[in-house]
Amino acid sequence: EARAALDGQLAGLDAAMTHLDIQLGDLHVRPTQEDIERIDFDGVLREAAGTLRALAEDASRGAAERRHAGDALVELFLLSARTSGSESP
Amino acid sequence: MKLTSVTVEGVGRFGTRTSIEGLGAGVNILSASNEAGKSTIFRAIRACLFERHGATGKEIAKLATEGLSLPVSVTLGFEHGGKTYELAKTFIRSPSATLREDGRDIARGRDADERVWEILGLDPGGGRSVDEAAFGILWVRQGQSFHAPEPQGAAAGALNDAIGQEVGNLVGGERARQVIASVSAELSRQVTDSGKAKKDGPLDRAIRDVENLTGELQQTETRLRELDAMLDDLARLRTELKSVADPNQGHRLGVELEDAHQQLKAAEDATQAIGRAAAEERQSHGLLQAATDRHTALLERAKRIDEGRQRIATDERALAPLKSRETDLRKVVNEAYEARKPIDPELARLDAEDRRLQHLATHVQTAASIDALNARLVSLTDYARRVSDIEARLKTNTVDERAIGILDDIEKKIGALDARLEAAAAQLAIEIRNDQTVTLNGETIINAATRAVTEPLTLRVGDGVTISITPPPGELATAQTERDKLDRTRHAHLQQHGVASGDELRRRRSQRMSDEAEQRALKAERTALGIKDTPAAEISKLTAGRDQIATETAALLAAHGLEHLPSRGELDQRLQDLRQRKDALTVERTRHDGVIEASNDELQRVREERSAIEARIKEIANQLVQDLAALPDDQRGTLIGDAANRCETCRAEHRIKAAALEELRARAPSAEETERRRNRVERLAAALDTRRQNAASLGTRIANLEGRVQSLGGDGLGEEAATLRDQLAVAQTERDRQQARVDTLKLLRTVVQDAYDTRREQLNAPLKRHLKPFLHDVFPGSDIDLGDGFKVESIRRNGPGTEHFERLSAGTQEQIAVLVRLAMGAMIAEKGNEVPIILDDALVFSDDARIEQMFDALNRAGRRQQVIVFTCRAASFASLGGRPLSIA
Repeated sequence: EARAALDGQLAGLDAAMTHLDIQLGDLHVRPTQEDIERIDFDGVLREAAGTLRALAEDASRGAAERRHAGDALVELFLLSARTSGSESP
Repeated sequence: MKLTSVTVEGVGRFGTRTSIEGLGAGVNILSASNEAGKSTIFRAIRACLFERHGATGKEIAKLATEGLSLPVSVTLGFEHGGKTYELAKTFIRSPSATLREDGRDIARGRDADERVWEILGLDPGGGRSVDEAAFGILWVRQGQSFHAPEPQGAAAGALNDAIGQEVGNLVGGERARQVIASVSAELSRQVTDSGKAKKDGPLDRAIRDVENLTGELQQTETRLRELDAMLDDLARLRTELKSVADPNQGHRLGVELEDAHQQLKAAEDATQAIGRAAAEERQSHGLLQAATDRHTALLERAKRIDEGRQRIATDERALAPLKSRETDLRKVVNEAYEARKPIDPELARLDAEDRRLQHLATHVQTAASIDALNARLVSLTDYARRVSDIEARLKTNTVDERAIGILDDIEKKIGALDARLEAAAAQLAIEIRNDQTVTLNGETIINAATRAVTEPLTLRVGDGVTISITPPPGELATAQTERDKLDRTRHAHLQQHGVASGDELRRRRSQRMSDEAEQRALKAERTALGIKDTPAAEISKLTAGRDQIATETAALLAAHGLEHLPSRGELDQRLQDLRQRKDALTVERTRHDGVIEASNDELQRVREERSAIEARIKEIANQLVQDLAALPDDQRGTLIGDAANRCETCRAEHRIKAAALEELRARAPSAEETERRRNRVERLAAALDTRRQNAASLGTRIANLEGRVQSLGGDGLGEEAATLRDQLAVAQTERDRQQARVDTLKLLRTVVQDAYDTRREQLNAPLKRHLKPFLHDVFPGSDIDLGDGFKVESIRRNGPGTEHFERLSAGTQEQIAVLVRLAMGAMIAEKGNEVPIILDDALVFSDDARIEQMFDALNRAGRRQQVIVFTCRAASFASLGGRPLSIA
């Protein structure tokens, strides 16, 4: 939904201008706190997600390292969503 | 739970009712030989607890006694939760099950099967057999003790429950492993285990695209730079050729070269003229030098003639005194020779007289020893006589110690026999009371006598009475015979040595011992006398020496015309006088020798000096003859005057030639100037030549460059490079994207793995806490790493290094596996679920030292829960302690 909204806004800007060069290479998706809570409440994956989120938001680290942590968090979110419900007791 | 009794019937080798007696708390040990039925009992206990009574599977069928159609009956007694239970099951034939609690039946049949599981907290599940839970890991069958426990299902649940009560559960562990597996799978498509890009993977392809495009672009840019350089070179060469081919510059160089040639020719002509004048001057100078040399030589020869004449006169004056001295010295030498001549014969005569007197003195000394020789001859003669006497006596007297010993032995036996005979014989007592003569065996008796009648006796009384007394024959006959035999033996022994009685034999023995002592003394005297040979030989030698001295004395007296030998003092006086005379003559002769030697040395020196002067006079005379031949005295003035005139003429001619040469040299260019002109000619000629060669070379290089520019393709190379740069940028972006993806996945896997490991360590901590005392009983100071599902991964002993479980020896693996089971049992028991530990023939790989430590661990476990050990190694398990069980 967010991406559809962004595309709509960009289309409007493009129509309003003579030339619009759009660079979307650095555009990233980040899960919200609610998304993370859904991963694995109080479990191993939840703990890993917390670590990755802390790394991604740690201003003392380099941009590349923070970006990797953010990407890893997204990947964890996608993978956990894929394996959701497969936990055995 | 604690087992209190086990009874079987129709089970294996136990066809009749058989019980295990002695079961109780703590460690229980059943030691029995192989095939005693220990494992059968173990399997019967398991079947009774975990199999339905209606089961007919292979495990149940194997329990039945072979060859007998008996029901398989097993009855277990146990305590659990403060109550006592008895579970009795019969399998195969007439199957039944009964469960009693505190002495009353509480369930039968299927209800009994499941009720006991409920009591023990087991889940029957949906299958045919029950999940044994903790019993599955604490009851170790024969041959399974060396496998590390890997709890599954309810067993894992029991352990997790125990752990969960202490530290909680591992939530999300499975999903974490799935995430790690997914990430690892994608990473394995991208990179190898060592982190390098995997061949033909996305990252590898992106990296290779970048490398290929980078290489291609570098080649294109290299070609582009080469093309630019060629075009620059071409422009520079064309400009250079235009300059080299300028005609005005070529004409100017030609004029300058012609002028330089003319100037060089003028300089070379002047140089040749100087050369000719210099040759003439050298020739004139040579003539002048020759005339001067001749004049100088004539002057020197005239001088040498005059000096030679003076030196000859001087030397001839010096010769006269030398010759006179030589004559005087010869006279002195001859006089000394004459004076020395009679001395040598006199000295020879005195030497002969000296030797004669010495010989005489020596003989006088020898002759003086004749008295000593005679005295020694007397001693030796006496000694020889005494030796001969002793040897003769010893030869006739051969009585040695052995002969005396034999005699003593015989007489000792005779004495003993006599004592026996006298004791047994009748006693004859004679008493004479008148004056009649009474004899017994011819021996006259005076007053009285007593005699034992051991032999026939003849008693005479006066001349008229003869009484014969004969001892009776009988018991003394044998002794008497023996005594007679000994008498004969003694007599023969005495005869052998030439004596009549024993006393004589002993005297002769004493004499021989004395003679032997004297013989030893004579041997000592022989050494003192210094006799090396026999005395006779020594006497013969001394006699011969004495005779020789007498003969020599007679000969000397005859030779010297003497009637008797002079005394030693007389001879010494004559020798002293003679030697004084010899010394005086020797001194005189030495003095003459000194005069002769000194005079001869002086004579030799005078001769050498005279010879040197005479040789020098001869040499000077020879030189004088040569000089006078070349410069006679009568022509000396003419020859020297002509030579002087010739010198003057040559000097004037040379002066003219030298002046002409100096004038030419002053007018001609210098050598440096000539060289400079030559260099200028060569430089200009070379410049013209270089100019022509440069023009040709530049033309060739320009043509070559034009050809290479055409072959490089010139047009379009820049556009190609721009396209490649765009493609490279796209490829680098893709490579960075793939690399970022790999880095992201690695980070994700590391973070999830760390979280998982941390949580797993927390979960393993309770088991490790229980394991630690058991482990240290056997491996002091060691630690064990546990993996997923409580799997034993490795052990750390004696330092930080780890040893993987699979690489340990079978014995160590078995010990660790049993220790882990004991720890699991202790942990479960601590949470209130006490399950007995049963080991069927375990610790088979343990050595003597290690098994004692394992016993410590088993007893540690036995303090909190029941431990039952089945073993066939009674001796090795003797020190385990605990309750001994028996099969009855």
